[in-house]
Amino acid sequence: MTATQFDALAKVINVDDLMGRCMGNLDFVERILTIFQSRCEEDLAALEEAIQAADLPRVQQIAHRLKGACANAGANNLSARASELWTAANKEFTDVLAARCAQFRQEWNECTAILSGDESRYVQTSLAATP
Amino acid sequence: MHVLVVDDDVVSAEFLANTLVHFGYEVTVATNGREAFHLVRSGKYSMVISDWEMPEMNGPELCRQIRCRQWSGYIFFILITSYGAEHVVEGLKAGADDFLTKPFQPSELRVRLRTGERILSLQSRDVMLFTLAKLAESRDTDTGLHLERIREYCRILSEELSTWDKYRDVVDGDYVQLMYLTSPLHDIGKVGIPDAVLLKPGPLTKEEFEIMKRHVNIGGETLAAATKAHPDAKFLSMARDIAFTHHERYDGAGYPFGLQGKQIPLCGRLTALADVYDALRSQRVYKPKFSHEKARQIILDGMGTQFDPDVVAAFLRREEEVVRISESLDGSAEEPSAVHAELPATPPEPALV
Repeated sequence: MTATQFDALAKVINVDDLMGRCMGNLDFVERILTIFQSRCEEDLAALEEAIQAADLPRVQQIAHRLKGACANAGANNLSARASELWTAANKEFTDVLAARCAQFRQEWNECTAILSGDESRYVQTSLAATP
Repeated sequence: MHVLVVDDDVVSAEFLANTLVHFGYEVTVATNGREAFHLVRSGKYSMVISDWEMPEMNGPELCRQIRCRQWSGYIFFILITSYGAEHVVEGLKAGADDFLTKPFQPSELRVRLRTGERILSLQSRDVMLFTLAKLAESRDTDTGLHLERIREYCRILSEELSTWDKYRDVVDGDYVQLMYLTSPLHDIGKVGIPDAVLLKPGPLTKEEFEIMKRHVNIGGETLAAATKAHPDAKFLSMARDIAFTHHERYDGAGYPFGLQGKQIPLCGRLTALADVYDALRSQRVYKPKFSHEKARQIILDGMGTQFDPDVVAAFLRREEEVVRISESLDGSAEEPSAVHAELPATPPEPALV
């Protein structure tokens, strides 16, 4: 990983924290991030479906799992977003769920672009998100 | 040591599994409580680390399911939570031993695992207690799996009473566990009975019977001395009470103190019935093995005189389980029923000359 890639990664992942919890094992870090990417992508798609179907228990369940998975991968901002989603679902604030989920989706796309090493996609996503 | 990790979040499960393997544990991962409970039933796991929120069966429910059943050994249960203090209380109520918060630090996990290992090592105390009881029993060659059956009967009877309103504040899970642990020590005082009496192949004389009766004092006093040295060890005080009082009778005609009714500690009343039932169902030099029906009738005849009526009622309520234990832990053959009919229906004190 180059210094630039590392700097980009540090924007979305708390690398020091993740490395510490992986006991400095780079293979372990890589495995965790790979699982994190594939599993959260599946969960996010399921979350979007659940919100569309107004299935609140399912929204709560997936948001809670995303919160934990993001925290474990050191993606603290994403974990906080998932936590907001979970709270909104818990309090039945159904009107804000779609917007919060769209925000999560945007940040998730930025995160995965960086994790995939596709920085141009990250820049494009960032620009597209700029008002 | 085998650790069962239960988490529907694969990232968290992978983290836990890898960290545990790094610390030298063998790990299995389940993705929900139901799957985990099925795995726990294999008896392979002495430690479970479970997420709180999961589909099908959540962490606290899994913990409750594990706690309300008897296992061959203790299962140390760690709940993972990202919730606040009120959930910790709920987790403790479910029977969790410890908590981890997500995302966990390996150093914290290690400390919690060590705590678990320390608690699990206390089981060696239980093994030692049973070994001691078996050692005392080893001189008495015709008792077979008596201790194994006694502790099962005592567990079943106390478990039954724990579901009754009037015993709610007396008999809880801890009491049941202590009964299971300490009832095998009831006859430990027999180590002090001379071979000529203990191993006599025929009926005892009156004098010999008086010597035999001393086993309750020998055992009770030995355990009382141990209790005095360790007053906080509840298992020792219960073992002392059982050793002293398992030959007391509800009507006050028992020994060594002639205690009556509720003066006899509950653990003694429970063990008294378990001990007599087992003796009735076993072959002795002075009697054949009785059928369950005959033993049951003798127990019923002793209700309110020899036995506490509540304990007899508990026995009747859990009769099927008692029979199952009696049969599954039995190596001897039953006497033909024709022989039973000819014998007097008396409780199994050794016969006197």
